[in-house]
Amino acid sequence: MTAIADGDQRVYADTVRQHGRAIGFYAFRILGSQDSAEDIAQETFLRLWTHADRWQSDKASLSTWLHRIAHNLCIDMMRKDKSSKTDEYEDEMADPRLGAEQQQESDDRHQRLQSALMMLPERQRSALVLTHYQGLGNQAVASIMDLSVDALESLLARSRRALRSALADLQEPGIVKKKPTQSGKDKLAGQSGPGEQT
Amino acid sequence: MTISLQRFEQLLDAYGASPQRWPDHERAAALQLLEQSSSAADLWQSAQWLDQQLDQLPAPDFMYLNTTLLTGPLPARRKKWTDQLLEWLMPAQARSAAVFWRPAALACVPLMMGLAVGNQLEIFSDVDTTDLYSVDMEETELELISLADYSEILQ
Repeated sequence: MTAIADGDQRVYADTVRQHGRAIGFYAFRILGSQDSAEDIAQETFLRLWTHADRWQSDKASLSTWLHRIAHNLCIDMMRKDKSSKTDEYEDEMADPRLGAEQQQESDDRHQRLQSALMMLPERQRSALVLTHYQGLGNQAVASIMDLSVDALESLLARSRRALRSALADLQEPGIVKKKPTQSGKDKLAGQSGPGEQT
Repeated sequence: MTISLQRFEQLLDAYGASPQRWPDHERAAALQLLEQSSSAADLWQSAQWLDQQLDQLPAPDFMYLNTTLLTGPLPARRKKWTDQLLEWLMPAQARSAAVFWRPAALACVPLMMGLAVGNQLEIFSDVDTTDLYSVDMEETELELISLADYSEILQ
C-alpha cells in the first residue's frame, strides 16, 4: 500500500487483479445491476489509487477496507437512484446446460430470489451479502458497517427471516442433506467465498 | 467451550448453516453440539435450505472487469507538501537516493528550528535591553530633578 501511495502502478495493478472481481460481485449483489457494479468497482479502485495512504493495516485488512469503500459508494448510489434494477437476470444469467422449460423454471426461481434480496432494507442486504457471498468474518463486516457484532447478528437474523418468509412457497419438504461433522470441519473451513475470511 | 441450543439457533439465524461462516471462536463448539443433539440437527437442516437458495443465485463472471479497471486512466494525485518540497530539492532521476536524503533532511529540521528560535531570542533580547536602558535613563532624570528641587528648598 505504501507503494501504491508512492505511485507504483504495478502494485496497484496486482491489487486490482486480486480484489477487483470480489468488489464487482459485492456491488452487483447490492445493486442488482452489472453496469452499476462496474462503476462502483471503478470508483473504489480510483479511491484506492488516490487515498492509499489512508489505509491503516492495523485497523482493517485491505479487503475489508476496499469493501468499506465499495459499501459506502453503493449506499450513495442507492440513495441517489432508488430504482435498482433486477431484470438483468433474464437476459444475462441463462445456464446453457438446461432445457427451455427447466431454464424458464430456473429463471423464475432466480428472479424470485433476486427480487426478495432486493426487497430487503439496504442494511440487511449489505450484512447478508458481506457475510454470505463475500465470505467476510463477522468482525470485518461489523467494522465495514460501523456496527457491533451483536447488532450485525440481529440484522442478519432479520434478513434471513425476511428471505425465508418471502420464499416460503418455494420450499419443498423432505430435501435434507447430510450434516457436517467434526471430522469434516477442516474441509468446510477450507471452502471460501470471493472475499476473504477474517 | 460449549454452547447452548439457543445460541446455536442464533448462529444459524445469523450466519446460516455453513460452519465456515460461523464465528471462529464458536465453530468447534457448535459442530460438537450439532453432532450430539438431534434438536440441533433439525435446526441445522432447516437453516440449510436458505443457504442453498442463496448459493444458486447466479452473478456475472466479471471476466473483463479487471481489464476495464486497469485500462482506464489514473487520476493525478495531489502530492503532499513534503513530497513537493523534496521534488523541488531533488530532480526526479535522483529519486532513488531519497532513502538517504529524507533522514538527512529530517535531521536538519531541529537545526533549522534551533537557528530560528535562536534568532528570535536575539531579537527579543535586543528589545529588552533597549527598553531597560530607556527606563533606567528616565528614572535617573527623575531622581536628578527631585534632588535639584530639594537643594533649592534647602538653600
